[in-house]
Amino acid sequence: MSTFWENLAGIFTNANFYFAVIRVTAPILFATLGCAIAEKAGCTNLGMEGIMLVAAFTGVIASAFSGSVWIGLLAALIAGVAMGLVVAYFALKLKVDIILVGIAVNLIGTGLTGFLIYVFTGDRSTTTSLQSGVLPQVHIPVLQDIPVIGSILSGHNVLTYVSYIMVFVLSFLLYKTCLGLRIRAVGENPDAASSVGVGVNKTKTIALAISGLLGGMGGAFMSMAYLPYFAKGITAGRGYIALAACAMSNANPVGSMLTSILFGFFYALSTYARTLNIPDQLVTTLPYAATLVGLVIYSIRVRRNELKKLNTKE
Amino acid sequence: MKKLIAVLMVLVMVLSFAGCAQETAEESADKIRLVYIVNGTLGDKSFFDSGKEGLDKINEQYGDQFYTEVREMSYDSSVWEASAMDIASEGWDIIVLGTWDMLAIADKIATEYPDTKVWFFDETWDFEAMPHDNLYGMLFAQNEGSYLVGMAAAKASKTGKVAFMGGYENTVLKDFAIGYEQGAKAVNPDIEVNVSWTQSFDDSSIGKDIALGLYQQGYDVVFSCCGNCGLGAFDAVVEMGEGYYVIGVDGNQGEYWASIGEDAKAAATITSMQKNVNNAFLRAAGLHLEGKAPYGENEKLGLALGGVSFSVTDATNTILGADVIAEIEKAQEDIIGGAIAVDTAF
Repeated sequence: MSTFWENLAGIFTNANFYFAVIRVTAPILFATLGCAIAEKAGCTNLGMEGIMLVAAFTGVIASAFSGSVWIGLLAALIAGVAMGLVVAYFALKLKVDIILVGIAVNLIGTGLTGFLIYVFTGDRSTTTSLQSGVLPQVHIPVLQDIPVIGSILSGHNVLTYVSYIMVFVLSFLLYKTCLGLRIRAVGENPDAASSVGVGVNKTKTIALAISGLLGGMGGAFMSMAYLPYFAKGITAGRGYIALAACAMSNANPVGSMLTSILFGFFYALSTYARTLNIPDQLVTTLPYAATLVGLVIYSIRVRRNELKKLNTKE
Repeated sequence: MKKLIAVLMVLVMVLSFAGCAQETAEESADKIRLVYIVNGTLGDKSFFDSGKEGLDKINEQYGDQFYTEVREMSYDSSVWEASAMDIASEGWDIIVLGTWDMLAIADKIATEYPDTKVWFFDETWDFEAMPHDNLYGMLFAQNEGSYLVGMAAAKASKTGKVAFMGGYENTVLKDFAIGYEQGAKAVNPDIEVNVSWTQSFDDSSIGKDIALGLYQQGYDVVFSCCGNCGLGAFDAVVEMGEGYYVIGVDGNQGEYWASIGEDAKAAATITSMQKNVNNAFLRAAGLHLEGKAPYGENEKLGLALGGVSFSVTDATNTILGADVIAEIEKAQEDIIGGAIAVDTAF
């Protein structure tokens, strides 16, 4: 048992572990923020997983054929926005239940990318045979020279930094701009918003497009940073985890970051904990168990707050 | 517009069905019809692809006597039974399928189609519980090959810590792990061998994460043994850079990476524990033609029969050197000769 504690201590004193937490959090954070802005506008974007897959695939193909990783990134973002607009078109214009649209987008994302890998490469599982690019790593001057902290915070992929910056961009957008106010108004009470002349569907469409853009960044991160190629099902459920993380944070950007980091922490721990001699089957469930515990804590807190409100009224 | 689309869809369907039917009828007349059912997809650069190569070899060598087809059933295990039974109902002479997941399905096929021969590979067939005289069990002595790559891992490791990364904890993969650990300890009795299960055969990103976690905790050699998931370990090793190594599985993965220009991956691949599913299929086809295929029995294909082998590439020579390779080859002879007994999970 002593080796267990030694190894566990070894993990928590390993700077690489914290680097890994930041790295694995990034794609979840993108997806969570994407879900959050849609949620704020009153749309549950269940299709995040499918959006990420399509964007990840498009990015790799565009990068391989253009020879430029930046064109690949641009294509991934466009694909993400396009998928967001597809959700908007079906859910808002054709009035299909948005949950069903989300499920359809996820199924299409999995099936279509799996099929297109074969069309483009003749391979059934990965695009390793295409020479697609990898987005550059960023070494932050000064910071990288600080011991420990430098090795944790510097040297990440450029998109990793973008993911954390997006938290503040999105906070600003939602709480300091006119568009943000409209998005929140439409989400809270569409009738009230429409009565003062806010275009409900237009605002929701914009929110879903931004949601798609964030999903596109998450997808691009998976296939052009996390791994240097597209593999079938590369997102591995991160789009669904994002939904849970978003619900836990009440669709608040800073909260989204915290819940994403919580999830990233347990995910990284589950990959490091292979040395602890506890059954790996159990270790693999860590992130999901953490999500569940988080949701329970969240709902208890909400209930308490509600009770408190009732009590103060009395 | 709608009508037009409907008509087009019908046309596409009719044409594609007609296409399928024609091909099989024409090509397979008078030949032994063999189908290879993959419970996953091709493109893993290892296990299933090696089986496909086996079919190619059969076509090359016995093309006038065999008609072969591959059917992929995807990684969705819920459709396996229905798909496999559908395929079996098409009237094949030989059905090839394998792995632990397919035991019950193979039993069903062999029972319902007594005139069809079944080649079952990569898991011990329990002939006492499921007696079938139309089924041939093909086993691989992965413990023997793993012993050799375990030796290579211990020789290459500078930290005295090496790791094994398997998909799910089943008997075959445990057999890999046991041989690997024994081989590593034969070289260095104090070596620490970590055995990790990724719980996936298809998710390369988790494969990469787990491999990175192992490397960063000082395990400088990882034996990556989980299909597509294992491909992630090659990305991890490239990210770690100099002094970190990976060992491939099933196919000659070092050679594969070199062939598509992934030099960094090829250079970090010490060797591959090749499970020569291709040779096993070819051999079975030959035996079948001679009427000598051992239906109703299991056959273990180890180092002696070429069922498994230790691959040597440029990287092997660079990392290990000729002396170590000679030492491993000596151990191979000892295993074949019986001087070294390798433990097994079976």
